Amino acid sequence: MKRERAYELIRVIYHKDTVNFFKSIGLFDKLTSGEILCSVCGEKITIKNFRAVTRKSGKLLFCCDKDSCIQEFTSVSKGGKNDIVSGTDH
Amino acid sequence: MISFLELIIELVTKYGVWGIIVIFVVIIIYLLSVILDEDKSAAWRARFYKAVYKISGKSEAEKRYIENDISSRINLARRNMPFGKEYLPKAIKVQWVEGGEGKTAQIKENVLLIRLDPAESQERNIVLLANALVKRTSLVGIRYILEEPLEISIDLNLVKNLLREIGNKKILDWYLRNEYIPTIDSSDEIKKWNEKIVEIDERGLFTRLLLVELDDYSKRIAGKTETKEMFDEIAGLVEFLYKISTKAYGQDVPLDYITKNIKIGVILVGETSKILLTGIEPYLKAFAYKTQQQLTSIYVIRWDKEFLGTTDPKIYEQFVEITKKLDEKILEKFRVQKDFELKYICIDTLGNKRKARISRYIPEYVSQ
Repeated sequence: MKRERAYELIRVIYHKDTVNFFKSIGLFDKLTSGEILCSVCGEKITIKNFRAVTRKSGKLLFCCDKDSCIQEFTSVSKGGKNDIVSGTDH
Repeated sequence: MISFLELIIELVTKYGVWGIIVIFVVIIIYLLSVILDEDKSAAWRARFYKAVYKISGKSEAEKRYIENDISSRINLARRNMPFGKEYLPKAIKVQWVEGGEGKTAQIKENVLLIRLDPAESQERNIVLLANALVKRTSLVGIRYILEEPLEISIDLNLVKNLLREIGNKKILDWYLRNEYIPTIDSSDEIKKWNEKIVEIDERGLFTRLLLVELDDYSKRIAGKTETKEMFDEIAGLVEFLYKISTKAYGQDVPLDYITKNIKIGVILVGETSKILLTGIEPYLKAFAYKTQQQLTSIYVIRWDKEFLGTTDPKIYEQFVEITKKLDEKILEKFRVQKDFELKYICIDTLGNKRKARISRYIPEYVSQ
C-alpha cells in the first residue's frame, strides 16, 4: 500500500460566522434583500438556509441547504457536466 | 474493558514492579503510535475539544471539535477502503474561513466553501463533507462522460462505504434515511444502476476492480472529447462485472471485456472442488489465452467456500496452497507484473460470507 498523503482541502464556514462571512464578501445587503438565489433550485438564500458557495467562471454561485441541491452543487463546483449558469457577479 | 482491567491487576499482583513497568511501556508505545498518527491524534483532540465545548460552550472549542472529529473519522475510514494500491478517496483537510468583521473572505475559482451545522448536528456535517470529498476526488476525468444516474449510483455507494467504515451507526443511518434511499427512490434509472453497483460491491469488486479500471480509463481518454461510445464502454464494464457478480453456480458468463479503451480479463477461482480436482493447469491455460488477446489487465479472483476453514481445515489448507501456487506459476510463466493483491470478506449471491482475494496482473506489453 502506498502511504503518500494527498489532501483535498475543503473550506468550511462556522455557523455563527455566516453574517460576518456575507459582510466580508460585501453581499450582506443583497442577502437581506433576497437578491441571492440558490443556483440549483432558485430559492432565496437566507442566513438560515445558506449551505455553500463557490466561484465559477468568475461568478459567485450559492446553494441552499436542501440535500438534493448540495449534492448537485458539490459535483458542479468541481467543474461537472451540468453547468449552472445563474450567479452573482462580485 | 473489564477483562483489560483484570489483566492489569493480574500483571501487577503476579509480577509486582515488573508488571507495572510492562504496563508503563505498553502505554508509552500506544501514546507514541497515537502521536505519530495524525488521524488518531486528531481523534483524541476531537474528544478533548468536545469535552471543553460541553463544559464551556465556547465557539473556538466547538470549531476545533468539529474540525478534528470530521478529519479523524473520514481519514481513518478511508484507510480501510482499498482502491488498488491506493486509498480512496483522498484524505480530507478542513479549514475554517475566517470571516470576522473587518476581514475579507476570498473565494477563488472552483473552491467550494460549505457552511457547517452546530456540533450537535455533527452527523450531518460528516455526511456533508464525505459527500463533497467523494464528488471532488473520485471519478476524476470521467464525470463528464457518465450519464447522471450511473454517476449518482457510484457516488452514493462510495459515500455509503466511507460512512460504513466510520463505524458509527448514527451517521450511516442518517445518510441512508435522508440521502441514500430518497435519491434511489427518486428515479427508476438510478434504482437500476444502483442495484448493479450494490451487487458488484457485495462481491468486493466495486472499489477493487471497477473503480481501479475507471481510474485507468480516465488516463487513457484524457483530453478526448466526450462521445456516446465512451459512456457505452463504461456502462458495458458495469454490466460485465454485474454478470460476474450475480453468476450462479455452474453458470457461464463472459470473463473478458474488450472494447476500444478497456481490455480486461477475469479468472474466477470460485469452485473449491474444481481447482482441487483439476489442479492449476486449466487456470494457467486461461491466463495464457488472455495474454494472447492483448488484455491490459487480468484479474484473478478467489472466493473461498464458506466456513471451509472450520468445517474441513485440511481441504482449506490445500485450497490456500494451490491458489498460492497458481500465483507463483503466473509470475513465473508469464511476462506480467503483479499490480496488487487484496484480501477481503464478501457476501455471495446466497447471502453467505466468503473469504476472498483479488490479484491484478499487468502484462509487460502494456507498459512497453
